[in-house]
Amino acid sequence: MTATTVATLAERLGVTTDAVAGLKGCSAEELAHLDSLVETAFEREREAVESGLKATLLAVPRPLRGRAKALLFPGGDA
Amino acid sequence: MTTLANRVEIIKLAQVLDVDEGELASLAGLPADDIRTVRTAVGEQIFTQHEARFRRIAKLAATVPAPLSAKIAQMALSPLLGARVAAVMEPSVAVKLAGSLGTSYLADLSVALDPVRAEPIIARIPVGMIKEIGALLVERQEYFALGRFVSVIEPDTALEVVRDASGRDLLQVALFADDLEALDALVQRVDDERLVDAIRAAHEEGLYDDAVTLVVSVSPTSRERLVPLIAALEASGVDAFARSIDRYEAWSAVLPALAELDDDRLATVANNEATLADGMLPRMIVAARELALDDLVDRLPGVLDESHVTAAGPALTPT
Repeated sequence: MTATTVATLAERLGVTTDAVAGLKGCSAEELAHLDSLVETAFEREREAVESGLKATLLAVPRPLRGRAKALLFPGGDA
Repeated sequence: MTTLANRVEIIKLAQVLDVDEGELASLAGLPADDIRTVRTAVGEQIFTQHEARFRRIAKLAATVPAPLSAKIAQMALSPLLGARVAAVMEPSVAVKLAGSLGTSYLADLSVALDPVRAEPIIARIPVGMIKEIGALLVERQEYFALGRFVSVIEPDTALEVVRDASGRDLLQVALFADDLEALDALVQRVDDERLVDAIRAAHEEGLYDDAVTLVVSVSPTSRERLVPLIAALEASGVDAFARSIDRYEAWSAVLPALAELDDDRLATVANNEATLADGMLPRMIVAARELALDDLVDRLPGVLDESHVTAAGPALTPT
């Protein structure tokens, strides 16, 4: 497993390494811990969005559901 | 060392990541700006990773009548997803939809809403509705959401939102305020009685660090209102505040207001047990000299008791 560095965390966050340069004061373990917390937050959001979309589709009145499905799941992955 | 700004940013990041503050203890020595960058980046990434889907739901909502959209939203859309979708809606559509949603659902949604992203919508929401939602957020002790909202709503509306808030509520809202100018505008409008409540709540519940954060976060004019309230507490309260101020090296924010106290009050503050701690009085005096508060330093020998003069040591001697 590759050790978490400020650069990898910055990449996950979509910011430059310079923007979070202060994190260089953290050890590799501390960075890995922060990275895992961020990853968990992202995963939690992903799950909330997925389940929310499916629940929304089921709540749409049947006559409109086909249209809603095409809009919410253009890849047909509902 | 942990600064007040750093402490606040760790608390806010913990909220965004939905973890206990203790999980972020390793960030205690880092610059507050870096922690803030992490927090805002997490919020941005969370949003942008799914933005296309939020826009699709928003588009769907715009194609059906507002009451039907509202019914579907309340039935199926979690408040979190509702908040994300609201942020990408046309403000006029979002406001129309909000009018058909229940206050409780809107309060839930507000907790997950990014007020900066949703500012164009919030600006069009009727004040009465904002007050109702805000009051519910106060009741639910959703301080993180409230602290962010006071930064994007009119100060007079913010005052209405916290009208029935307790002193403790006020302190917590202030702790999470993102825009310190907005916080100060609110504090300027809060009457003295409410500020007394806030300071007393800090004393009674041991929230000294939160109260010191408030003092440091507001303008010098507002500090001149808050510091005498701290000085008027019983000795144990003054003592605990002094320890908190010293721990966070916040003397420079407090001393100008202390300089405005009369001799009796100044003596009460300066002669407490905490200021006998190793080096505290000298640190205060050095900070006062750096701020050119020479009058304050000159008054100290006249108000300090013998043990405190000894504790101050050579720092009292003019340089």
